[in-house]
Amino acid sequence: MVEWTDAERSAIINLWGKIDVGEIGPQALSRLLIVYPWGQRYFQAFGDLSTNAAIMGNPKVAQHGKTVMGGLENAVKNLDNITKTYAKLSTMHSEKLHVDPDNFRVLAECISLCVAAKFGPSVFTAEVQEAWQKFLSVVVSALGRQYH
Amino acid sequence: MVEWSENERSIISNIFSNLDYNDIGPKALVRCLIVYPWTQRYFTSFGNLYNAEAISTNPKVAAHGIKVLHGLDRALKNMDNIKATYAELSVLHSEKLHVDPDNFKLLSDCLTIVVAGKLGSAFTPEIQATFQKFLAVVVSALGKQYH
Repeated sequence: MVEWTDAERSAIINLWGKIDVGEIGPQALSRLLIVYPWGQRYFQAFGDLSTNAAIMGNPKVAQHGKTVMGGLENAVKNLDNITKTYAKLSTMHSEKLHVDPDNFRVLAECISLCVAAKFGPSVFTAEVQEAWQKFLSVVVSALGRQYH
Repeated sequence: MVEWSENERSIISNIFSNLDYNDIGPKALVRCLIVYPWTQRYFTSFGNLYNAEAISTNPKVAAHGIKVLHGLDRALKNMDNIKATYAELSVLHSEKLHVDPDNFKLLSDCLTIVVAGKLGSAFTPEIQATFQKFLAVVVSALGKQYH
């Protein structure tokens, strides 16, 4: 089981409290589709992804970004049991959506960059970054867990 | 060979010409040592790295951060030949310093976070893509001479 110090718990919860999932989620997913364009393969049904501007203005991308980011709420509320919390979602991503689990890591990286850009170094300090990236890596691991 | 568009070259050039090396270098290395604490193993001669406060104020860490960031100048000046440019440094990191090449990626991630924090909304997806491409080429070049 993952051990969290009190400082890490409070860093994660505080940062989460500042995050607007409707803002950061779309940004992070757009970035993934722009910076790692092979990610677009999962979103053929989303319409126009042909240019950066198209991706950033695409309402389905925005909506999906918000949904995915909102999914982190469960992890924040269940810090001591993230693996189990995401077991079903993991199975779904593997068996139904066929998402390469490497993409979780890449999306997590994009989320961290959006958070760093939004809040700047006075909020997203080195210690907060450590706690947040540890948190995301546990989520990423949990989502990849049921793959076989 | 890596292809760079005119736009990418100018994005990279702009990022670095607006960077305060004395500020950003230390910040990136400090974050690396805090966020990925196992990297401290390479800096046992740097004195007190006991906690985040100590790391953030350690003058040897700061000096080394500046030095490493300036090391990127070589890539800036030789964008069409980054691999050859870093061949010697790669050998040094492998044979003398014994640095696990995974660490280059970790430091480059921390540098990206620091630059994102500094640029804020100006850190557009296009800038992110270009900067990460540049750093990935550097990281690859630094790991090239390992065996």
